Amino acid sequence: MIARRRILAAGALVLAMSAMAHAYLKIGFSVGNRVVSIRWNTLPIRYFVTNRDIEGVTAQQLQGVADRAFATWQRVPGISLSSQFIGFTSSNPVRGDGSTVIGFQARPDLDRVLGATNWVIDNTTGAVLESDIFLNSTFAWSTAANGDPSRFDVESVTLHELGHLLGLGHSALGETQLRAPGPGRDVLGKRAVMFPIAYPRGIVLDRTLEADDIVGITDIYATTETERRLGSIAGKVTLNGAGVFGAHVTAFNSATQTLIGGFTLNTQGEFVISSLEPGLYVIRVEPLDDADLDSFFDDDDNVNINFKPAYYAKLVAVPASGTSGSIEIKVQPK
Amino acid sequence: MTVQGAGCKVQSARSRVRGAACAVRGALAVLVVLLTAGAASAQAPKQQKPKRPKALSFGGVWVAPVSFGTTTAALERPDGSSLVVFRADNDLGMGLGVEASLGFELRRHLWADVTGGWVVSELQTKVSDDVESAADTTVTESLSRFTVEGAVLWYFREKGRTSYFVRGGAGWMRELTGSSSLAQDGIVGNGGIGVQHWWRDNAKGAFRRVGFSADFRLNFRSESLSQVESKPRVSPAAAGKLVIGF
Repeated sequence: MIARRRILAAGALVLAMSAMAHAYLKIGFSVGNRVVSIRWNTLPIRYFVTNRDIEGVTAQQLQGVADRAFATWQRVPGISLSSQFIGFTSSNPVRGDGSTVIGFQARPDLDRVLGATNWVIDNTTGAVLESDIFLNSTFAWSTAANGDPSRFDVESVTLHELGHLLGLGHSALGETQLRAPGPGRDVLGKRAVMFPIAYPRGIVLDRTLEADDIVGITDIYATTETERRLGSIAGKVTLNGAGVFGAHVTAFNSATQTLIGGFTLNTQGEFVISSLEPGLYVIRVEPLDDADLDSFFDDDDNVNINFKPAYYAKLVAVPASGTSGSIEIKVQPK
Repeated sequence: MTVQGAGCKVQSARSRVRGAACAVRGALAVLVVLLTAGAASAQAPKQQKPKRPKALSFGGVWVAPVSFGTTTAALERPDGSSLVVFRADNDLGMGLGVEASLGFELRRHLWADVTGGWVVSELQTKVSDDVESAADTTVTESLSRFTVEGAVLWYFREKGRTSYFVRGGAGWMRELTGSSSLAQDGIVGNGGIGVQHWWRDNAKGAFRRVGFSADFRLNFRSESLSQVESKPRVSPAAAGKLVIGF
């Protein structure tokens, strides 16, 4: 009954999804012909915190941060989500012990990984049975209210990892440049806590969820009433008539000035961006070239990044409780 | 005590039953008298009230393009400033439509109108300054606006068959996108000035008066599918209509 176990190792938050997401940034996996998204079916999510202090952060501080970060996700309007801190534990955040644990662990081998999340799931229903988050204590950490310029912010990274724990994959709403000298990338800008690359040390901007994060979590945990209020955009991206796999599709609502991202998820180039506020959207498509492809897809060999960014020629109307109707965005080769 | 009424004589307190029967007969008699009086009154010659003039009008409407401002799709840099992905200049293109009104005179020089209208225009968003140098483009969506309004017209000057008026009105609006998948209701209002000329002005006949009216207005809307800010927007408009008076 108990499912495959998936470790999501994340380079500076980067994690590799072991299966394709059904919707834009939900984590899912294939069962026969269908794709199952993962989610917590039993609430509240009961979690422990590893009772281990590191330099600069006590276990109590980590618990306080985890509590705030859970609360940040739970405050998203129109969703049903809750959590409960059970207590401190001597256990490490390792999978398979039946407990959901958040804690620091020294992983000097993962020299680009700030934190990572793994799950144990029921592979017939997608229900999360257990999930663990580790923060790599090889790095210097801080819980200072305004950040510490020489340390990474525990709350920002915990909020990101909790997004994974709740079932979200990575968002591609960000621009980066290759670090010189490498390896790695520097963030020029981003608009999602779930972007796979963290802000530099001392930055606490990722303590606040962005519209893309909110839409993502709403897509998984929306109440029935919320589902009735929201709509979606569906379509496909094609290059010379063939579907484009792995294209990054963004929807921009001028009225709310929000950017929401999604991906084409199959070789037909099809995508769905769900849980959108009704309104008119500008649709933009770009190649997925601002982070490592394996941050988004296991099947990264088939991701096509050889096309020019483009816009869909029409404004797309998203109705309440409905879909835009299928649109086709034709892109040109680079 | 003796009460005389409609031929019924009641001996007080002697017989309550008999007294009650007489009271009913008395009431019926009064009612008959009243009804008779009413009938007589209805038969009296009445002064003919002049018929209140009415007018039916229909024609075309033109609405000027209006800008809804610029918005930016932006990322957040580590220092908190914006990294613009692209800019979006939002406009509502010129609108063309039809309008029909039924008006009636409230009193001399003052008319009330009920108007229904349908205007088609195009939402346009010009996308530019793409962070990855995608070509500038304009994305569009057609828009239909249905309105039902009430208005008051004051004819402030008359010269022969031509009269001039100012108008002000308000009403309800529904906007629909081209696919009708998205709708927005709101409040509309307008104020303007116009002229009306009667080509034909007879005293009798089904269509006693036939003429033309034209007006220039400023329309405002409380909400709109196209608006990027939820504040009323004003747009100039003009209407020309055939008017039939009866």
